[in-house]
Amino acid sequence: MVEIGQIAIVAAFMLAVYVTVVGFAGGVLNGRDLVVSARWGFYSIVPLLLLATAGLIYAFVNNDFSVAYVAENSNLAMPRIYAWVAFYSGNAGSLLYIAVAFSIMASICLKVITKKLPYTAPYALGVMSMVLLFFLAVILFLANPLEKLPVTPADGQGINPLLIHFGMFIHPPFQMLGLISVALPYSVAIGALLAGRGGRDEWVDQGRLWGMTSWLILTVGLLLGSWWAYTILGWGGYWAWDPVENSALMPWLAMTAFVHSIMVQKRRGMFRMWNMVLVIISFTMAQLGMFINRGGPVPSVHSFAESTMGWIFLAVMGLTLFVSLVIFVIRYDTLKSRGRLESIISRESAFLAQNVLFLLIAFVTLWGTVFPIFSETFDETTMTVGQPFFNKVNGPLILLLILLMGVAPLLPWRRATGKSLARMLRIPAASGLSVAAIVLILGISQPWAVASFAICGVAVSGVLQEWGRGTFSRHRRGEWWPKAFLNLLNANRPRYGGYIVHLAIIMLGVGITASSFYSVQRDVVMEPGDTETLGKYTFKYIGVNEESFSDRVEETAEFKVWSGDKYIGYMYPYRAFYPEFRIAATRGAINSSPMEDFYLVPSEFGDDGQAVFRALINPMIWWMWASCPILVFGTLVSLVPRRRSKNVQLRLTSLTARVGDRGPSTVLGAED
Amino acid sequence: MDQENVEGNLDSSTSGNQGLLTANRGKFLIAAIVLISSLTYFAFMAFQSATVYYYTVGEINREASTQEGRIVRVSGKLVPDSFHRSEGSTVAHFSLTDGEYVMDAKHNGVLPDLFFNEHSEIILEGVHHTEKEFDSQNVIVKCPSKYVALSESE
Amino acid sequence: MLVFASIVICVIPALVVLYPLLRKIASKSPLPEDESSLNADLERRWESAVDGLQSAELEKSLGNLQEEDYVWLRDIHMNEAALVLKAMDLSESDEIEMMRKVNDEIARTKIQSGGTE
Repeated sequence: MVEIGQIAIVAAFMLAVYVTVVGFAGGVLNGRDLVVSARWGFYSIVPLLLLATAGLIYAFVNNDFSVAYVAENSNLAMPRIYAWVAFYSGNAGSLLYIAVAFSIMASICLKVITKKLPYTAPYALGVMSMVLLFFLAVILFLANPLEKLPVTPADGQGINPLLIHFGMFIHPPFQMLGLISVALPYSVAIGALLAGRGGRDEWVDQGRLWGMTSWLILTVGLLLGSWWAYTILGWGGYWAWDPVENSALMPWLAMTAFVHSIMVQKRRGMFRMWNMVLVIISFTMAQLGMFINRGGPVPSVHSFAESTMGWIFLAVMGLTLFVSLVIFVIRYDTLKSRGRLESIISRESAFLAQNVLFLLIAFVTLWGTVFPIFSETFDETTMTVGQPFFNKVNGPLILLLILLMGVAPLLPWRRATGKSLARMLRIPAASGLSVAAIVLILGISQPWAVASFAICGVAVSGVLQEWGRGTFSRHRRGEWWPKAFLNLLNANRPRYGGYIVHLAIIMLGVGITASSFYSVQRDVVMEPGDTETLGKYTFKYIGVNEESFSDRVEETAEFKVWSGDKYIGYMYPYRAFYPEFRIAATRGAINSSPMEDFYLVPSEFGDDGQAVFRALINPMIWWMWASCPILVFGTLVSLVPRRRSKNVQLRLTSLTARVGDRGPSTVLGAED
Repeated sequence: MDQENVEGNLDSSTSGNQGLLTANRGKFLIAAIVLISSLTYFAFMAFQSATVYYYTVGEINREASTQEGRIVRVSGKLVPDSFHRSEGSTVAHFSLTDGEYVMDAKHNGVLPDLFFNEHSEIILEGVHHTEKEFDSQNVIVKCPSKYVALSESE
Repeated sequence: MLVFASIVICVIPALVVLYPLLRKIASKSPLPEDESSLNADLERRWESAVDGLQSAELEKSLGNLQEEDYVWLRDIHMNEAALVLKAMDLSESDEIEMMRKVNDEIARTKIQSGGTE
């Protein structure tokens, strides 16, 4: 099975070479048979890579330690279900995972764009195939997960205990898939440029579709990552501006800018160059993320530490950026805007401002992330940038963005007069002020927190005002309230789906604000029988229960917890120690409610059960996790294509068919 | 009708008054310049106050006098068996080494999961004292190998 | 067994790739419509004009647009729609028919979104 997998990887590699060459050749020579051949070749890479993956998983499940990668990342004691986690837990395996996942996504994308953009697709295929080719080359020549050991060890080294967690089944795959999926909108956009077809907005619908798909995966990856860090890592936080976290955030920021500004191109034929630039930036940042992940030079708490492969990723990133820019410059003159900005008070300029803000945040983050490398180059000592820098600079920028999120959707396309604007903003402004007043009365006095809640209030009421007015006017025509609301959402899905996503983002913003400004914590030494308090919570340490397993010792503390006078129940924070790895895995116990989380985590236990415990009260974190499904739902709503059936009469095609050859041009631009 | 012509027609019809456009462009430009320069200034100020020197145990030993009482980051590996807590206290004492030099440090509170592996690279952020223990306020542990996310404690 | 498997793994993709070249399946099928043709471009602009009209109507019914802004937007989009039709070289009756449909569509949006007349 392993040997078959190896052959499959070689075959996939050769196919990828063929597809890249023939795909581009087919596009340039307008050879339709060549293009079909390349496309089918690309589709056949998928089963080959699945075969290789099956080979590796088979080796894991059967404890085939003759495979070096299996011996390094698994052992006899590992639960078999974790074969899936072990598959991508190391460097080589994660590359195979990325390759197989990307080949599947890219095949779906290819299928769709072949139908929608038949003359762009060959070039996009070439680009996607080059991306895949890179990964396959690295797997084949540098980090083959199916490589065999000369001597078969009796047992493997085992999986890292921190990976033995439910979150590991979903967070890493999402994150890796998210980073690589940025290659899809990139391929579509660069494919259009290469084909000389960027100038008429042909690629816009597909760019938006794949851009949003990628955005969704990145978003879920980030949220899952934070959730995993929060529930498992036992430090009570979820984000530390660590280089690897930043490197996942940066492409997300750039993609967010892109999925918004692409709407302007669709509507107005504007921002054509800007969107290309955004796609290129996004893909570069995604590559940077993979680089930092694979042994980049930045001091980080996550990384495949021993890998020098990072430098290859960096070189390829530089090359990609350079080539993209060259293509962009060559095709520069095809990308002139059709429309122009007509007024500062318009949806277009709001989108522009939003784009600038997102890119600013991305570049601030980039600067803070790579600064240590520069400082090391120019100076003997290394300087790092602490969390306060990110919080201080990005915090206000994010608040501005949320404000814009509340105001911008109310602005019409093209222009509005100041009078219209003032009228629209009456309710949101009033709600913002009243939210500020309410939180002040509730005793929240941190200026930034008050500003943040007030701005969230503006944004929420902006959305609700739109929904309310729309629903109300439909209701007046005799529709039942809920039906009126659903019809409203249905009438313009991209728009109202976007509003749902905005609401989810506001939930996220509220959670982040509350938990970063009003989290309290206390470290206490406790012996069994002791009682301590934090805020309104009283917790009594009943005792510790020690249990030995083949690979670890688990010590579970038992607590009785009261909130005020109300008895909440037992909480069981525990700490498992893996002697083999000399790693502790601490799991905090969390009592979660929409208002606040009470979080208990233990340190190492003494002989008599004495231990240091950290108690935390994290307000409103629940809202952050709750926003995730809403966000996914909203994105899906806005992605589902609008039914055109009612509008079919309005389509020009109904006429062009009749016009036939008399029309201006069925051939223009067909061959280059 | 050729395609240039159509583009031209549609453009002139939609772009509106030329004078208004130039005035707008000026306004856009000024607004953008003001916004970006103030943000740059702001970011620069924040940046200056947030940079922290990053040393290995050996380096801090050599530069000890210049860094007295300042907040720095120091990286090293845990000296086996050096970790203990004072009885009934939340303060932990331990030593870090880069293989050559040894630095004593203390940290108040709970330590991250990977702290106890002598292969883990530990990064302490805190106040350096030449005569006393390093007063750690923040512990970051870098993983010895493999693809893992690790914890941070404050 | 292994030899057999490797032959299968290498030969099947090779066949898949060669088949379209040998049978010339693509050359036999009709040319797909070009996404960059002037027609396709005009169609996209037509749709964006119609979208613009619909959304102006929606914004107005939601109270986001003052009358003067609304009239201005409506004129601009109508103008663009008319220009696209001109560029299509349609017969006069077709043009009139199309503009009438646009007007109907706007009226329908108005009713759907519940705007007052």
